[in-house]
Amino acid sequence: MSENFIVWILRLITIIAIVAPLTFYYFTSGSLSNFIMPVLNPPQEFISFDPNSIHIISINYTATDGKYLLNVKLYNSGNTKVGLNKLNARITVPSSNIDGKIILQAPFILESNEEESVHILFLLEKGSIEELMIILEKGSPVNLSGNITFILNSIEVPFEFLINNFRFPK
Amino acid sequence: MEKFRILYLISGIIFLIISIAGGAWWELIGGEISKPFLYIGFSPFEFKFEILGLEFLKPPPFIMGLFLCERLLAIIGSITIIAGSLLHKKTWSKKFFNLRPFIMPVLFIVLILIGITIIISSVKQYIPIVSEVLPNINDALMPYSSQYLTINLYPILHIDASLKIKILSQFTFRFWMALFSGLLCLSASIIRKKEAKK
Repeated sequence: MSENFIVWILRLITIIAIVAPLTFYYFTSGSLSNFIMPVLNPPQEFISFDPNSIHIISINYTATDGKYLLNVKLYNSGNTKVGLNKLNARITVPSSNIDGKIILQAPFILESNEEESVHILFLLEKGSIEELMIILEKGSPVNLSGNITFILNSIEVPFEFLINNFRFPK
Repeated sequence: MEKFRILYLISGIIFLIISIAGGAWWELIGGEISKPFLYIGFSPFEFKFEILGLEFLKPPPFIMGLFLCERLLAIIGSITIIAGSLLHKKTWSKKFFNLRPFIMPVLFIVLILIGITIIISSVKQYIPIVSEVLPNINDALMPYSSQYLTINLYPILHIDASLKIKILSQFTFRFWMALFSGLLCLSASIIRKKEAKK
């Protein structure tokens, strides 16, 4: 076998390896626009999820030694399964000396058209609960920060958040 | 067998395995590694973009064709290197040697770094809100830099709030093995040229 023959065979194989796949994909795609255009499939979970589909039905709390166990009843009127796996946050009120922690007691998932009781521990580290209630009723701004793991169907989305001057709805 | 042929043989075998196996060379993972909500995997042979475990962007057939070309060229390149290193009695066997295992990973690094820089700056130029909403997107996408993507919510929701999402941008084990194979191939080529001069 001559060197030239080997070189030409290698060149031929290389050209075939480049041309054949492009030709195959061009003819199977049907048209030039299909050949060059990517296909986008946005997940339905994001499209169909509406934050307004989560409703607070009731909030009760029991207090012991600066610890407040909130029992929040939630209802999901949407089609997407949502929940929280983790919530570890801090609440501070810039206009006063109030400082506290919010901790989710147990992960929960709200199925579509179902309600669920969620237990959240609130630890008041500075200030009094009466003062905090007055501030919340007035709609004064609070700062919230922490970690949260949000569940959307079967996927968990963990993130850190920081919200300044947040006003709780009256 | 000469030393350079042994290096070529090892390099060819490693690169052949990597080319056949496929998989990502660079990946961007959003959220937990075991259950990412965002996954982008890219290599000379494939591209994957998934959100919430579902395919978000399917590359066009043109790109799929290019990926297949790349894979075939990598497989052919590896096979010829292996054949060249084994056929040491044939004078024409040296024509089989090539630097594809070295060129591919090096070009890939350049493509990733330049690609991220160019794509992000073009997006920021044409959609200025992107730099307000995602102030550290360059850092977040660059391999081994920031581990968080900050999302500033004020420009879109008018709330003084920001989210930080855990992001991991990294070259994978497959990439490092491809680069290792490339370096072996380059060493073999240098040794071969030195021996030829003697």
